[in-house]
Amino acid sequence: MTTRDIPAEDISFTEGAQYAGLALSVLSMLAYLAIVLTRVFTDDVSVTKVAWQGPMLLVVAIGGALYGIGYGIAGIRHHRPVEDARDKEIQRYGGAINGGLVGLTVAVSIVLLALNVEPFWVAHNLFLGSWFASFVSTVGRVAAYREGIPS
Amino acid sequence: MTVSERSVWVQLFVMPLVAVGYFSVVLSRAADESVAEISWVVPMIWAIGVVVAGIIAGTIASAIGSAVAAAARGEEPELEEGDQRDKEIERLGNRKAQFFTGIGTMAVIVLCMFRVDPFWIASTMFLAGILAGVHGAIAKLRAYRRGF
Repeated sequence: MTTRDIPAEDISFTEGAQYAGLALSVLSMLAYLAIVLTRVFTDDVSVTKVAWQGPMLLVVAIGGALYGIGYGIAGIRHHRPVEDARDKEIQRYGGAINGGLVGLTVAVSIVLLALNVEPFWVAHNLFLGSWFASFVSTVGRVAAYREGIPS
Repeated sequence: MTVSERSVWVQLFVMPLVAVGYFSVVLSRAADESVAEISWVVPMIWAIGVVVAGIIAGTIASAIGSAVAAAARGEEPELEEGDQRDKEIERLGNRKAQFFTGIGTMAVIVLCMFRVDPFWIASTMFLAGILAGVHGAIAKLRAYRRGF
């Protein structure tokens, strides 16, 4: 049986959550970039003076809330334990990838702060870096569901 | 005890010590001059360097120490290699560490929004990193001692 023939019930709860999270995080990031880049081009100020704070908070809050609500409702309707041993292991595997990339992002931020750059760049390095870390770790989890955890 | 478990124990002691050292240096400077003029970069580089070097040196020292102790008791000293369990515990700890890095990242972004002095931003991030490291180390040691 190829992966395509697997009926939807055979996708574990946690695997489904990866796909939902992936879609939501990509949409949130696109929305943020659309708002801020529009402001960069329409507002007549330099890039670092653009009002990025509101959109960033909103996108994080709305994206997080939607994921939380979706996870909660799906979890209640699921009736069975949401994770088995394999799910847990894959969660940890993804978490380790995420941790490594976030660590790198934090190190870059400290360098940026030491060089005294605009807070705008520090915040965006962290925002984009953590987003990228979670994106890569979620793709890694999806791959681990399909092809097993690389040892 | 495997080499990775040893390094986790060393990390648990080195990280809080370095954090105390860093903050006592920079906060005593903050008492004397305005935060915008504090030179925190050099203490920060030292702190990060000492964490890395301290964990490596501490792990080696403790491995030698326990080998000597084993030889003194007349046992055969052995150096245990890491295995699959070590790798899984490593992943577990790194996942746990995300709790504080996540909170720290969000806190730092908010500080950037208020254009706080880089000194406070970098120190917040450093503190979050130390907390994450200690939290991760505790989670790993629990897993080593009591299972998952």
